[in-house]
Amino acid sequence: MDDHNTERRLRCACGWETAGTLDEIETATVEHGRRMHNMTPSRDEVAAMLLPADEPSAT
Amino acid sequence: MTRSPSGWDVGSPVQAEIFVIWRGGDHLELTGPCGAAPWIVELGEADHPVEVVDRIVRDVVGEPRLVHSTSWRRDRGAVLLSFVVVIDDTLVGSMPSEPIGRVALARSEATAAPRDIAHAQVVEHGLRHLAWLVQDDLVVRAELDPAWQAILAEYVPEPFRGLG
Repeated sequence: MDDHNTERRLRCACGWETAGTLDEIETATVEHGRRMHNMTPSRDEVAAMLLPADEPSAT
Repeated sequence: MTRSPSGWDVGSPVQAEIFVIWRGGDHLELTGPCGAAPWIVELGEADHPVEVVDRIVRDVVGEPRLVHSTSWRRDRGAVLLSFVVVIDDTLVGSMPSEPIGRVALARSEATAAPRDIAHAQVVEHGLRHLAWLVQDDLVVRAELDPAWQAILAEYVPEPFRGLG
């Protein structure tokens, strides 16, 4: 199993969500964190917060 | 929108909690990019809280009319600095928005903070703070039009104080 190509999801506590590969999620999450919350998560922090892609959406 | 307890979240020891408020005719509404809810922002060691809040609001929402810190408290495992940010109605756009209702303040004991403080109580205190400023501070008064001032006149003025 290739973790880099597995579809995953990440949900921010503010309600924002993104889905895709780890690289795609990292890019989107770093941008969201920087722009919306003045924070820049590391790749490890992003990886630690990943959810399965079939996790029900919060909205 | 309610914050998701299971989501990725701001975790710094000092955080800003932004309440974006605008006047919709004869009443005030809470809005923001995170919905009609607190907008949580990380504050780093080198960050000046007001500068960070001003910059991030300008970047995400647009030019604010007022940025003012109105209280602080201990919550979310952090020191939380609460900011009232006033924007013009033209900036609301597609952001969710809800009218702000009146609530009783969370009152401290003589030597202890309130045990529980709801977001609505923080907003209530922030608007009472603004009601005091609009009487006491010429800069604030100049930024808020007569309709804003009439709404704030219904709030009992109250200066800055810690809520927890």
